[in-house]
Amino acid sequence: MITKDVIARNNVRVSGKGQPMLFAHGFGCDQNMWRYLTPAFENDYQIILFDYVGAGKSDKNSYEPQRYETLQGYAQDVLEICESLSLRNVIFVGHSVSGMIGLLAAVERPEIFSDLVMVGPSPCYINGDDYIGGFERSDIEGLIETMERNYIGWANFLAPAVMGRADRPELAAELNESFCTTDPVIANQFAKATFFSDNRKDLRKLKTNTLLLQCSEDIIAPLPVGDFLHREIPHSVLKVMKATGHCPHLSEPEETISLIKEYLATKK
Amino acid sequence: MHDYLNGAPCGYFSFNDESILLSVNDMLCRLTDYKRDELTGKNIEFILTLPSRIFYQTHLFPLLKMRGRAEEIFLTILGRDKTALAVLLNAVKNEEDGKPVYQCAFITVPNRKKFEDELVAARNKAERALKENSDLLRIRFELQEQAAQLDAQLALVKKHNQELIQLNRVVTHEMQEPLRKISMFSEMLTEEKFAAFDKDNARKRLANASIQMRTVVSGLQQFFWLEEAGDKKVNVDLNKLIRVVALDVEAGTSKDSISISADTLSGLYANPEQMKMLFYELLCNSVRFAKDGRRADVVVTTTEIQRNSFRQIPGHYNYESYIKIDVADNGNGFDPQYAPRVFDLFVRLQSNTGGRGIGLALCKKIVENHGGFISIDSALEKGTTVSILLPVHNDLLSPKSDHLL
Repeated sequence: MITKDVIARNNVRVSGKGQPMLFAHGFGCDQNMWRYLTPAFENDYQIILFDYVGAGKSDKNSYEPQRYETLQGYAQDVLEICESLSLRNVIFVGHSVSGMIGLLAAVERPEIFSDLVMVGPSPCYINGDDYIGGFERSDIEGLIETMERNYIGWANFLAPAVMGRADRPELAAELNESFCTTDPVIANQFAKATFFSDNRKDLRKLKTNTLLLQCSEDIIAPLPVGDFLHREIPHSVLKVMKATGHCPHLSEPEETISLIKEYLATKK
Repeated sequence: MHDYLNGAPCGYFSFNDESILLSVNDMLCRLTDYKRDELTGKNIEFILTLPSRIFYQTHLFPLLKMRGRAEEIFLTILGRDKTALAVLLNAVKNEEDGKPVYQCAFITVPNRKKFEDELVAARNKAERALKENSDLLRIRFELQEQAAQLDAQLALVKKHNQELIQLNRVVTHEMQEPLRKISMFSEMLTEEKFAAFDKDNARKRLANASIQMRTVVSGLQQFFWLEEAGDKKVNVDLNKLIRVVALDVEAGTSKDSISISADTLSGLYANPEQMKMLFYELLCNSVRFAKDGRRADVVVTTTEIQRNSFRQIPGHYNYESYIKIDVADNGNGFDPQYAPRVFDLFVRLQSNTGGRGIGLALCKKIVENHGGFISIDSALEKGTTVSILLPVHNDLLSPKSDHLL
């Protein structure tokens, strides 16, 4: 793939100078969600923002259902961005599902990454034997239904999604206005790739130093999940935040910034 | 709260950045069967069904925080008796005492939900029918199979093509030079005008040129005669293999020329002779490029990863398991800009290290014989890491007899 393609495909934005800091958004949003965090780092680091294919202002024509069926395809996006910008010594900051996407990328190409910062990560959302992920399968199916209803916008809803809607760009624009993730079909597949993923056995393979930021009351990544990650990831530091909910970088940016800075300071 | 809002024919509530409910109106209390003081101070998740909680965390809160408003959001509210109530909600971000407050109004939409349910069911049925059409599925499967075969053949053709290009380069450059010398010096021997001293010198140079020529020819032979890995694959114990190969390397150089550290390595399903050759070449390189003739410290690690097995045809994806083997040394390293060329035949970055210029070309051929990938990363003065990806075959799950080295 040609470099320029990756940059346009993932709407990659680079600013600042210094050690590269790559911010990866989570499910349901786009690179905008980092806006409260990045100003605190842009004087000392090179900030790289991007949208996964299907989110934000990425090139939705590049979406390949086979590729993005599992998180592996998203990890490939991350590696291709690093390759096309020739990034090394990267601090990867990933929210939610991007924690595991970063893990997969760093397991495959450890030489690219210096540290991983995972904000509200979970290796497996569905409860199993002796494992508390927080959800049952039916909860996730309920979420997908809720999403479908919210993407309805009566007119486009009537057309089967598989028929596509390239002929109705004004609808896309409307949805774009109301939601971060625009394409319902892609969002649906991303939800499945995210919430049905199970990366528990990959955790021990990670050699990169990792900061785990765990919110104190997060239904999507409850406390036992943070403990599990800390136990399984060899070089990890776990910080339980005062912030509640799943988006501390939106609700408590100051605390998020100071914990990341504190962690990075121990590296100098 | 103003009486109008309290008695309004719509549900109303407000919450803050911590998702804590600040106020609720009569309608919300009535619909959920909670008293006002049972709701205020609680997290908003308290009155949402689990799927709506996830949706709130992943979509609604980020949207409100960043855009300041949300319209026509479908949520299900959870009452005291656990009944789920479908609502459509509008929300705006305002400020109170310098802090964001999110105000929400909603109406219940039980009838719309019924109608939508039918539409969703009909649409899903249509989509399923389309997707699960068995003929289509079969054809898609066959196409994928054929694409995989085509991809393998394209890879093979490309490999052969590259070998031919390399052979051409070797014949025109590597062999021309010694040939030119041989013809020049043999001419000197026949011409009378040269003194005996010059002729002696010419004889020596003639011998050297033919040795050089023989090295190139035997290298070529080894490279082109290396067969496909094919049916000679067995389960190989990489831990044992590395130790045995390291002893071979020491025997060929000096004792303590190399030290290997490796955790428990994954098993491989591969041609054992070719694997031996592969790691022999890699470890020899580490010894050859060790700093100031010091001991080469080599770290070998394996990791299982997922990788797209399609190599030639773009737009096809099939994630398969591969064993990634990293062989990292602490030697002189080289400028990484040369990395793309070092796998070519008779390319030597340094001429004084005794290499034949065939090792890495051989390694690449062996790895590709196994349907794998090889890459190299290096930093001057720091060392070189060769990464090899070999496909994991299911045979590995039911090990046959271990191959004894």
